[in-house]
Amino acid sequence: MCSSLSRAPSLRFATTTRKVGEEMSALFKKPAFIALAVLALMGIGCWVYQLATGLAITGMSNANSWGLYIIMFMFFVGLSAGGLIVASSASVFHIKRFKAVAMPAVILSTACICVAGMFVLVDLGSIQNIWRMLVGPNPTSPLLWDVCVITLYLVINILYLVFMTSKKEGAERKVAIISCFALPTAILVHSVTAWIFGLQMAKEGWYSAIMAPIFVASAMDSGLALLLCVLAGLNKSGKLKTDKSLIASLAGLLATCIAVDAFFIGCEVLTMAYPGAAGAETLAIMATGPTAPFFWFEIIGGLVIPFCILVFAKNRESTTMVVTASALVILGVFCKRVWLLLTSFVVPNLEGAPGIALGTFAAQEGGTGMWSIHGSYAPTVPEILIAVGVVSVGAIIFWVIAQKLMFAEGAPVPADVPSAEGAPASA
Amino acid sequence: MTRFGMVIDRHRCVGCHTCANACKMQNNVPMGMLWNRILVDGSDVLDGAVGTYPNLIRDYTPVACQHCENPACQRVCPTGATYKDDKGRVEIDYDKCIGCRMCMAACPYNARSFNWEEPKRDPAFDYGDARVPVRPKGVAEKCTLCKERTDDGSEPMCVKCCPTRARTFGDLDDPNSEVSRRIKEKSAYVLLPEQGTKPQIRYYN
Amino acid sequence: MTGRNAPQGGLTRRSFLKAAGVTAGAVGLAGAANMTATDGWLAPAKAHAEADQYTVCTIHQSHCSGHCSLQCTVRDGRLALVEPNEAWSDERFSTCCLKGISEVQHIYSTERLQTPLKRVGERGSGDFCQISWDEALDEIAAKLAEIKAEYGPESILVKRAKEANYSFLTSILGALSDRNTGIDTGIGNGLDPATGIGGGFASNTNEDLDWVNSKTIIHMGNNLLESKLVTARAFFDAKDAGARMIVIDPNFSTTAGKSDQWIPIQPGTDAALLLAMVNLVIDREWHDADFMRRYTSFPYLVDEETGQLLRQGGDPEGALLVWDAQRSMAVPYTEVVESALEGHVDVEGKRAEPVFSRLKREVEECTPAWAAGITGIDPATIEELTRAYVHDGPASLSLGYGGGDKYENADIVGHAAIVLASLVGQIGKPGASIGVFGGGTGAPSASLASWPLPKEFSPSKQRKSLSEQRSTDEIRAVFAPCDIYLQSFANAAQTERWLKQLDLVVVAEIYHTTFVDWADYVLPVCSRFESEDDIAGVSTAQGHVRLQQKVLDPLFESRSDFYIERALVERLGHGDLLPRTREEYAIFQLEESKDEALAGMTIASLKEAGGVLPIPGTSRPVCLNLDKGLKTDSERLDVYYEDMLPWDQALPRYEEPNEAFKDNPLRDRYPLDFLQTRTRFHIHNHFCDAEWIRQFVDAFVEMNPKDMADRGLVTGNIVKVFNDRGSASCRVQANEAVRPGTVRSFEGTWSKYMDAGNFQSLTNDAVLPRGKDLMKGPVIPFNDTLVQVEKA
Repeated sequence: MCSSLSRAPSLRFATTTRKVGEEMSALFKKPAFIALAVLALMGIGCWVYQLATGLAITGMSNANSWGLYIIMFMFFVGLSAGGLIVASSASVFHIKRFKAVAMPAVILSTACICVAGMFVLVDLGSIQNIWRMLVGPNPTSPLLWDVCVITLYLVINILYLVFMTSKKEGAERKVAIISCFALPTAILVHSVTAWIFGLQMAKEGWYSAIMAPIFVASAMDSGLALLLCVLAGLNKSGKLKTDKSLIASLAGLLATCIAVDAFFIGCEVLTMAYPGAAGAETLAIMATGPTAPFFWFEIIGGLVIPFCILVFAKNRESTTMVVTASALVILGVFCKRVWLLLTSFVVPNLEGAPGIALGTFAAQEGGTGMWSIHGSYAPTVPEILIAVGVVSVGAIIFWVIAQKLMFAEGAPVPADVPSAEGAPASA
Repeated sequence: MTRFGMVIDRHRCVGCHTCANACKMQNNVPMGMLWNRILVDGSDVLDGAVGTYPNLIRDYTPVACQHCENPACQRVCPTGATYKDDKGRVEIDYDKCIGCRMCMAACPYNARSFNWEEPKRDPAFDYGDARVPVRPKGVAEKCTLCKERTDDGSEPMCVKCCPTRARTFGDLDDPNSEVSRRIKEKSAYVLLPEQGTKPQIRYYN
Repeated sequence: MTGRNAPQGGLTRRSFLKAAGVTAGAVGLAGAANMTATDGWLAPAKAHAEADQYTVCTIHQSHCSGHCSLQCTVRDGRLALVEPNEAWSDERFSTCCLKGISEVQHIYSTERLQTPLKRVGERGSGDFCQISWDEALDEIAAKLAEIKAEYGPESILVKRAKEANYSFLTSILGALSDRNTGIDTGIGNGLDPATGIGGGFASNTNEDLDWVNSKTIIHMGNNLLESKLVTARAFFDAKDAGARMIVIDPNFSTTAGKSDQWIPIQPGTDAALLLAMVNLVIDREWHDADFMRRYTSFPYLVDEETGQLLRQGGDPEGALLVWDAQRSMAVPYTEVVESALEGHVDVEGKRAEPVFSRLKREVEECTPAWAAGITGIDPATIEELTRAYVHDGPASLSLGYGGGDKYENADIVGHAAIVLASLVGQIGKPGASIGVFGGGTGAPSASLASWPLPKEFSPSKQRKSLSEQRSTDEIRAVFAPCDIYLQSFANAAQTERWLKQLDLVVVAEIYHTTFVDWADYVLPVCSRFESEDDIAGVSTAQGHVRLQQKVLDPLFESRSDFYIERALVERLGHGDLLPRTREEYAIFQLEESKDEALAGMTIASLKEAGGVLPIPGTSRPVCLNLDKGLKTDSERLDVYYEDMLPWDQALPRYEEPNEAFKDNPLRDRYPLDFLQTRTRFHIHNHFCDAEWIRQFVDAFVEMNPKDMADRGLVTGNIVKVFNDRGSASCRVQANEAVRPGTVRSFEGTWSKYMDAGNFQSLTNDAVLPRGKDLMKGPVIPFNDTLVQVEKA
């Protein structure tokens, strides 16, 4: 049943560094890669514009002071989870089959966490003062914790990759050790990200003890879903053949995560709705207000439909169905980030005319247009370009590392791959 | 200890916005934002009324930084740019602000404004008190309880200019101060008590 | 979720400042000739902590009745701070409001006129070219002289404004001075003849600081908590002292919201309510007979046939007669007797009755039930209101300019009000007073010296109200230091026709107001903060003498009204008759005053004192003392107006408004009452362009949500408000505070901020026939206007 396809990359290894270089330059010439580079450059250009002009080029305002960047930050922290959790579970819980995908999983995780980190940075208004976090950190700030945990998480990812690809003696043991740290760090990184929101009493829709479990669950399902999509993509392109049964079992895990996620959200929604008080008002905005499309897409498209697809073993066998479900999960979780963040900005705690002085470009032009009673937000073109640019940089990171570690002729042998399911079988 | 605070007589507040502009002037607040806003409770229009004609009510609530004893904004600030000073005011060290807007998400009162771009002033120069620091783009700002004035023993500009004398400023730690007496006499309350922020700006009707 | 808007196109404020010298759009000048004045404040301020900084006191505008003395901080030659001056003898007068503070921006407004302009397009087109001061003044003086020679001096109108009074120019030209503007005199027309106080403006009989002695205060059509912010203090102090505040207003105004009771009323029907109160007082015998005998004309005998008051010996100059019941004979009112208030008597063959008897008969039908049908106030409420006014005294009746005053029947309101107060004696005692309060009217005053001009120089007398003259070609030239287009007349279409046929229109203004576009010559005036001389002026208010000092040099090429006036008078050949400088004028006014209260006061002592000095000699609050006698015919409250007999208004008799009455068939097409109210944001048309004010308010009308729903309107729609006179378009917003059936707007809104037209295009300019016999002529019934509203 188990095919040897999963071992395919390990079979063609020969070592010449020169060839790695050649492969790389070949990669740089690929149209898709060039496209990514162009998008990244456009994003950087917009970011420079943003640095020069200020965050007023975004759709944010004093009434809705976080937007696409923070949505993407949450989203990518989550996406990075699946990979590392799968990879480290392989070691920690000795789920050997998962080891086959550990390498792409960790590379994916690394790229995603870099993207998440970059989104925090592009969201800063005064990035030049960031060194103040080092010299005068405020220990009660969840944002500070998050920066620390994300940094730690990135370091663990990098160490993971280093150990996985190390040919030295004991590398495998190091992978096992690092994975013991990686799993809790992954959980922590999501929890801390959740606490940035979940500890803010000021925002009815955020302030909840279940926020961390929800983040972990969303991270698991979206991360796994992304991993599945990437594996499917790699499969199709022939870069990395993954065993269908592995995909199926990962898909099974995804279904479980979706169920857990849905359960948590259900708990949260019920708790909000039941007293019919402030929480119900926030829920009403979620269900019928400006963020309703995102809420309902997540519930139906991101939870119900993918679960219904994946709950059947037959569907899990079908790559198309798995990819469809995964894509829906990813989109659903993205939508969740949107409604989760923005819903709580809609109605300020102190509501009344004229409202909040927005402080935006338009507001500074004077007149009564400077006010808004309710928070509203839509990203601007430069803001979207920056987001696309950051994601492109992430894709480039993934591609380059993957190229170097996995696809290239002469790429180092992943340490644990040969040991997966015993000795390499002859093709 | 000195713990500066203010009590606002909401009955005397006629929603004239004088305090909003007095604050804007004193603190060189740019266009498009105000540190001090006067809200018409539950209304979506200027001077709107709640109810159905002729059974109506209209209440104004002046809102600025509440100088909380337990400031949510200070708790979440990663660099300590927001701090509680020795006179009980919540202040911002603009040099330390990284512009993450964590404080804006944490403040239950929407008291903070962010410099989304290079501040634009009309008139196009730095008006107001010369001692007030000029804020660059990319940092948060808010009511300082007129730090520069109150350090000097003056009352905040909103207090000085209020046409109906609805505002009383003073030391909450001094039981004999006018502000303390009024708070006691009038059983003054705070905005959003459920937030547990313990504001030093109090209100009575 | 909505996207953000791109910054507005066109001339942004910043680009304007860079290219300063360009006046707004329509003028489109390439640049000002003289930039030196502006360079200073345009340069970026750096390191302002070490900058050159000083503070100086001046006074702010007075036509809001605020009379604020302001302490101004100037840094690097630019106005940086405006604060209440704390040098007043009484802390209560240390005031300032959002408008005063907004001057920090407003004096640098893009709407400031910067250079003299001359019209190049058609009148009203707003097309101008820039000219020099000399050219402008020479040409204006020559044209004025020419028009005077051809049509006589009364063909020139030199408009008086509260803030700028070109009285020297008026006198030198012998020009028409409009004493009767038809504005704010509606109620006073009916009230002041009885008291001899107020000069037609229904000024309060006790000052507002006396409200603390009142137990009941009825505010009628008076939203002082918005329109007189500085008086708000007295309102709350009185309330804290135990006064019960009752507001009668069609709208749920801010004042209504802060009062103990709000009684909504159908607009324009205040007189019906007051007459019902009079009826109740008489019916319940709540009147104060002793007071009436002692202080009022109620006992005076009236010839039942002619309505004339009976006088001793039938001599028109003879003493008025009352009926001595004990001796059964008519005696002069000055004799201390128990005069009869009722009954019919024969005096020298004439059937006579006391004024009170006549009143009793005349108001017999004005029952609460009758008034309820007109005012929409139920009879029980009217009764309770009356009871409170009579029995929960001392009581004050506080009237306003922004509501009932702007109806054709306003004089009846004033007359009925004073009749009511006189019946029950709620006047002339601490806590009992009547009138339009606020802004220190009634406070101790002193006369500044007036600059003498030779006798041959005096203004021409006005024979008709200005509004009536607008329908004739009697006026050939207008010199206006204010916006007469938006502020002086109703029915803008008629104003436009009149303006178009004039030979000369000169506007001296600080800002590019709506009227500026109608000028042939525009003269840029500096703001109150700017002056050529260190001492800019002196004036009295709030029982104090106040100094106006230079805060800044005139900005741009502007000049002060004083020097513009002086330059014109010079060109008319009489420069030597006028003071040479503002400072010389101020010194003369104060130091040459014959008023003993001002003895020893000098500009130097005033400056020393921080810009304000109390006028000594009177204890406050000032209360009217009826025992001292009033400046009326009989020195009493003369509530019976013989001169109004031809109009059947010797005693107040209810008349409906001119247009806004219930059964007007016009309501089929124009069902809504159009009200222009005063606001805290503007003083009439002033501050419409102040950016710090525009943060809060723009051009809009308000309607009740029900009326909006009926018309398919939602807040934010652009609507067309229209009637047969014209139309105006702007934003609409729904507000429950607005009485159903009415449209509420802020008066004075500049045309350029409207989507089309202006509110004055709609207003009623009917001329009340009896107006010519009223104290201040016919009032302009601005609010006596019906309209319809539809989506633009």
